[in-house]
Amino acid sequence: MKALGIAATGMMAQQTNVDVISNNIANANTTGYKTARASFTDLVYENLSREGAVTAEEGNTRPVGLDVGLGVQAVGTVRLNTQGGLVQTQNQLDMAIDGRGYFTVNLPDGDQAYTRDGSFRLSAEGQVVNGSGYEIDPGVVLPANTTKIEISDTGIVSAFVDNDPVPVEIGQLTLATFVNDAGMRPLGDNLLQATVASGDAIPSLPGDEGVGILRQGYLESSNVDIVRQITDLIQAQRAYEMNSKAISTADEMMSAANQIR
Amino acid sequence: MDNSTYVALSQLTALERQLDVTANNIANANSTGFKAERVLFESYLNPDSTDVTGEGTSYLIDRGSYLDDRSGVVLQTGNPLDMALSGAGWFAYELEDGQQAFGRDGNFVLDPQGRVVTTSGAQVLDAGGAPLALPPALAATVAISGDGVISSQQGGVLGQIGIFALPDRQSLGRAGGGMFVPEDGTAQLAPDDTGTEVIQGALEASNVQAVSEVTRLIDIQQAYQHALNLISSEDDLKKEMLSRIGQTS
Repeated sequence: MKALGIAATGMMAQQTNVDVISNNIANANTTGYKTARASFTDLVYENLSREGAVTAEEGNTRPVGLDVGLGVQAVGTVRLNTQGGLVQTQNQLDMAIDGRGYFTVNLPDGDQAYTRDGSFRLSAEGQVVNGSGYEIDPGVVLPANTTKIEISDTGIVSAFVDNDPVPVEIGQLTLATFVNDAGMRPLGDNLLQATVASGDAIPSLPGDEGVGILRQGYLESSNVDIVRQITDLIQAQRAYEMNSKAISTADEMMSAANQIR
Repeated sequence: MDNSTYVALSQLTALERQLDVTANNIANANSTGFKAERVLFESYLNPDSTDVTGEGTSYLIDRGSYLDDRSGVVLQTGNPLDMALSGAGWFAYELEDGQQAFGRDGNFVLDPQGRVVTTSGAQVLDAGGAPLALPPALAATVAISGDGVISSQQGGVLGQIGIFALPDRQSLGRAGGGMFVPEDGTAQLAPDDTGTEVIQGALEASNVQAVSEVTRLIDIQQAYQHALNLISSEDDLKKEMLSRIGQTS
């Protein structure tokens, strides 16, 4: 009786499902967070008798085989890369990406990470850094006595210095795009890292074809749909209960068999 | 001699198999595009046991398993490359070993080369039977029409997802990962002509029906208990017989 093991894989899959759903709910207010969804497929099958096997000399073949599946497996978590809502913040260093693309930041260990979280700040040296203090790449340094910053849709950063009415152009922000966004590895802190599966970052300018534009003074909220998450949670719980029902049925059947005499 | 015990035993073995299949259906209640499996029971008449009544003894054997072909519920996901099929058509994939497989799992992503693949890495075939690839820059904004034509926002046609007819789908073996493989490795890629529609931004959920699977669990358990009762009655009968024979002698 394999039902015990099969139902156990089902219970483990639903545990993974609940983990992913609760992480989505926990991040419902995280800037730039993308909803993840656990993806499941059936595990291997035991072919007890093969389809198409010859059953008689006249060439008759078996129309159906006997396939017993051995459970379920989680194949991955797929991020839902739809646009989150844009929330106005009035903060001049807040940027939302409207469309595809990621900001690039330099990690302390020399690697680069990518983020949709555009809530940038200034370091003590006037560099534009993210919430963890990692510098944006390519770096932008504000001149001393900057009174106001303007960031265009296409990523040109201009600063108004002192009382000069003419702005100075101090940098150009770029966006990185990936062939397979879903293949990026989440690092926490709203950061993602490129992997073999995602392909290398393709540097582009905001507003290029297929690349988003920047919105200064806005942040991208998470794309978590709470109603959807709660209904998924209910489904996951019921599926978990069904699997435990299969286990208790198998258990009671074996117990009954043991009590024949 | 012991026919009734063996008849009950044949039922017990078949019911254990059915429990395994039902447990697998329940475990896959959340697997995208999963089709439930059903077992097929047949009676097996033993022609040699015609000694008493001339009617023989029927045993139960589990002849095979077949596919529950109903469609699953279509769930909106919003991902532009997620596709659900509404109708009888199937997607075709090419596995890592070059084998062709079929399935209804439309949870697609792009690999670094821009090819459309499933989450377990199988390549998706286009209407001509070749691996489907999309320009990466446009993949996030493509529109997919009902007949599977993929076009960019500017209206240029980028490809067509393959939707195929599977008239002999009960003869396909199951390979896990939502894949159904033909016995000889290569399938006839016959285009679907039943008007199957692609629904973009949605996935077909598993077609496992919670209520019927749990009801089936109860049925299996009760049938199992009945078969066990038959064995123990037979056992009591024999015990009784032996003790009476012992008394008369």
